[in-house]
Amino acid sequence: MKISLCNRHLSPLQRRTMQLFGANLALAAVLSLTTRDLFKDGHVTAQLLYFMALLPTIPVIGIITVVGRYLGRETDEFIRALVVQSLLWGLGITFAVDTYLGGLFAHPQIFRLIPILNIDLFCVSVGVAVRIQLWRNR
Amino acid sequence: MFARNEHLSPLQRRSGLLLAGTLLLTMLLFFIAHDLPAHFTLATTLLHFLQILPAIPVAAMVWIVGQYLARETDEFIRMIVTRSLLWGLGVTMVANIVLSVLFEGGSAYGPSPIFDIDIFFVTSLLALFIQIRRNQ
Repeated sequence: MKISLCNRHLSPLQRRTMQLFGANLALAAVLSLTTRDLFKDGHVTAQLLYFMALLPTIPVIGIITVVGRYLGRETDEFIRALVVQSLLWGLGITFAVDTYLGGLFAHPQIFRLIPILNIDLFCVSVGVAVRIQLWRNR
Repeated sequence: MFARNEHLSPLQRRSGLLLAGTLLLTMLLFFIAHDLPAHFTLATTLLHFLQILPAIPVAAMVWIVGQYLARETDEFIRMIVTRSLLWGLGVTMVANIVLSVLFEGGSAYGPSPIFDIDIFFVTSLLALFIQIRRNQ
């Protein structure tokens, strides 16, 4: 098994994918924060609003491309199955939480703490699922 | 494969039926969870419980997809389904970010909270059909 709990045991493809994944995630966070800050600062035109709404989607597309590229290039069938399984775990958790919080925040009496950050939730749950499955398969 | 229903394997037909069933159940539970608080005054605990209800079939849908992928023996079909899931995921996340920025602050005109799972399934199915057509 080429993938491991320890980063030193990653293959070059896995390491490169992790780096690209992390960079895209960091970019997504920066762009999301920038967009929100610009909104708070003042009035924005409709065109700028649409542009700003599209801006944080670029790293999200990047993340999905990185994952797709990794799955296309990974030669180990077992690892690929494990990553797909983790993606499904991430999907399930994200959509379940999104449905629950989305429904809850529709009611005015519920305090809206933070906006739902689906991509963050997805990435974190996929990461946790990968680690759990690796730990179980050791 | 999926282009015509009579060409589906028993596993594919069963997975499709289960997915459709859970999608209908999600809609029904979502309707109940949103309609009840509009007509009755509910305690916060009950409100939380009601909002958990539609999330259960949503999780079940992903579980069904996982079961299908684990049992599908054809490597090529598994790859096509996985790729379609990634397309669905990408479109859903992009739509979610654009809509949440546009409707920042919980606007009354914001999209329905159930929107994400619908976008995901519609785009995944579209991606699946496009890929099957391209590979025919």
